[in-house]
Amino acid sequence: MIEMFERDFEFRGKHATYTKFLKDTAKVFNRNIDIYMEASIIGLLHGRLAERDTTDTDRTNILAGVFIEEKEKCKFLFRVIMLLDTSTGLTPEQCLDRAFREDNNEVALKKNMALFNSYVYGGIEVLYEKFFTNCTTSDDYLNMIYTFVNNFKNDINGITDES
Amino acid sequence: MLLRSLKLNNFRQYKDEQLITFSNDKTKNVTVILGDNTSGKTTLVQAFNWTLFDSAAFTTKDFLLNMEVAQDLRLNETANVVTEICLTHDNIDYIITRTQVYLRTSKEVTFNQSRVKVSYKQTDGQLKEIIPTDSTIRKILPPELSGYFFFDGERIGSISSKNDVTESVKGLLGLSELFNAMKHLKSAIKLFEMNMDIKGNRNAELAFERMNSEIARREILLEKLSNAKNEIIHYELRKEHLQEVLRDNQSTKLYQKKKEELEENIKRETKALEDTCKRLISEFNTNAIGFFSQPLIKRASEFLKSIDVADKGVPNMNASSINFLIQRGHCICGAKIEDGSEVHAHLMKESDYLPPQSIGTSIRLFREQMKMYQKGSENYHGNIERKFIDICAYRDRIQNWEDDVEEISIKIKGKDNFAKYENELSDVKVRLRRFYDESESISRDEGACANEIEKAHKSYNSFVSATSKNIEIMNYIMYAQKTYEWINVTYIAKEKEIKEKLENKVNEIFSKMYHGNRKVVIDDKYRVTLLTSYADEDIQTDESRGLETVKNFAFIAGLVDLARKKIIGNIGDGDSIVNLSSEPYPLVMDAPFSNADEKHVGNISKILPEIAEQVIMVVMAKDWAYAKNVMGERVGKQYMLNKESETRTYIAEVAIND
Repeated sequence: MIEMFERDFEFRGKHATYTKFLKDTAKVFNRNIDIYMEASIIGLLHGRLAERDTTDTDRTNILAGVFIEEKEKCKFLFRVIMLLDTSTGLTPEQCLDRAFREDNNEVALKKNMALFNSYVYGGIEVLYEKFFTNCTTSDDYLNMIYTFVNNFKNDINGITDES
Repeated sequence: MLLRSLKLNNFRQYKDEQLITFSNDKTKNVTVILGDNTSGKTTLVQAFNWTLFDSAAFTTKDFLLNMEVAQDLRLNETANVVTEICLTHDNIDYIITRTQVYLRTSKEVTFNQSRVKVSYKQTDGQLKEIIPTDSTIRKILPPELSGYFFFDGERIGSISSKNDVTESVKGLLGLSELFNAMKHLKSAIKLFEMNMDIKGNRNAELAFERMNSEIARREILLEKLSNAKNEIIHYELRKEHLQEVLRDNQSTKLYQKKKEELEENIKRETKALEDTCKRLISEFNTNAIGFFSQPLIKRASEFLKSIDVADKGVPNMNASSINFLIQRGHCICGAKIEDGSEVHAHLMKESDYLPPQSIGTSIRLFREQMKMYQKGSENYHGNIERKFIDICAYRDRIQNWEDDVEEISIKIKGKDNFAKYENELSDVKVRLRRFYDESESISRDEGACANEIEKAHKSYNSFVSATSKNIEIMNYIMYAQKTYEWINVTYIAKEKEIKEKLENKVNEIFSKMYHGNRKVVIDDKYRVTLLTSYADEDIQTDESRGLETVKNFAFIAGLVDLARKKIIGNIGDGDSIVNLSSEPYPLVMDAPFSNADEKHVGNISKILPEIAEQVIMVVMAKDWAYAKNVMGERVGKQYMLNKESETRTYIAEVAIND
């Protein structure tokens, strides 16, 4: 049985740079895995897919041990995204299968993980844009966290109101 | 003093006997002698110096015999150089004759030391010769002052500003008698003291010694005391200054305290701020997934609802059961199961719904997870928002406090090191105590010392006055001392008066001669300097020679004028009146105008005859041309120097209107 989220994961190129920025400069995220998980959500919400950057300009990683700690969360997010992604033109049933039935299918799993990670890369880019522009001091970054959360809350409420 | 005549015999270029008679008229008191350069003007004036003082400034040293006469001398033959002045001084007519003998030897012409003869006319008309001493001629005219009265116009530069002519001026102005009296009294006192008989009196000697050593000791103590007192003054000032600074600093202290309080607050609040920030970020990270996946969860829930994912499988049956049936080849109902048949396909589909292929469980699990995240996310925003509000409040307070701190810092800038001043103040107080103690103890010592001196003095006096001779001498000493003081009082007052008068007179004359913004000042050595009044500050200025000339003229004129007046003074208490009168003096001038300009020549010419009893001038014809306009009427006698050759000049009287 192949398990997902049990191996080391490496960011490269600009995604590594952005990740380091978010964790070490802006210090809004505590661990790379927090960025990884958040980015997956943000990527899907913004419909932002990005290709893995393979250039060797920068690197940073998430160790297997860390993944194992957060396996349940990551799997949950995986299922959500596999369920809700519409970029590949699958039918709802196919989405369902993809989300729940293909864990053991090596080939399918590989494809699905690639899709998941695409959203992660996209999400990192969105997060970077949010925290990099217009922020310079640590006060700025902290304010941006609140703004980010607050605006998100308002958006959610907006959606609730509409429906 | 009035000059009557000058007779020259073979004196320098004046061959044979030649006579000049000076005008003694009261109004026409000017005698003019005209001569060009090298005709012998200077020689004439120097003749006065030589006759009176045996000194004359000639370049060819002391060879005074007329050259022609000298050349005509045969071996071992002698010739005389004689000059004779007739003058009146103090109402007595004097004849002063100086002779120098020249002898031709085989080598050269030599001469001896000149000799002077002084005679005066007695009341009966007879001439009486006196033996001249050093002071004979000096009484008539002191040599130091000769430069003022026998006036060399070209060498005028330094007369009135450098030499110390104090004694001579005093003499001229009539203070000498008093001065000499005091001098005499002082030496008399000394003599008396020396004559006191204490040699035989050992006790008196000892007492005298003790007295002197105590006096010396007292001097030292007084000096120490003065030093200590100076230190005290210095440190008292410092103490006052420091106390003032510290008073000033009281408010600074309060500010300082407030500032420290604020800084404590800021520190504390900053820590709280940091903690809260950390907690906010932690909250943000930890429960992020729950919150941010809300919209996704919503969509996923709806999605799952829309698809009927109810558990379609046969209860309690699983995929291995179906596999078994397929392996067996026939179903529970007995139907045959063949690969690729419809039956087979149905069974395969069915197994999809059964665990482990069943996703129902997974979905159920999934739904539970969704519910859990949804619940956990309810407080996410609130927690973060509250923390953020606190953070803003912290930041605000910190900023306000930091602004306050900045304000205070500016207020107390530079004033907040009072610890240093306090330390210095206590140091100063310690020093002061020490100096006060020291000066007290020195004072006591000095008092004791003074007592010792008095005791020793008393004892000395009692030992000394034991002998009657000493008693007598002590009386004399007392008399002498009292007389001295009596005269001194008058002397000081008179000297001041005369000096003031002189200065005023000189300034008065000066301003008549020179029309400019200048003043002269006479110091206590009777030296004259020229000041310019410039915005109330009197500064010495560089002087042109012309101005120098006028200044010196003014000084001389002032001296002469003062000497003319009778100065009546009161000695002591007003009972005795002593006549301090002094002689009027003539002015004998050689080329007086050579350094003055036209304008000044006129001014000087007008004043001189008014001031001096008698003016005798030896001038160049061209200079006389200017002065004649002003002075012409005052001329009583006029002469001309006819230079016949380099070695021979004759003096000829000329009619005045030439």
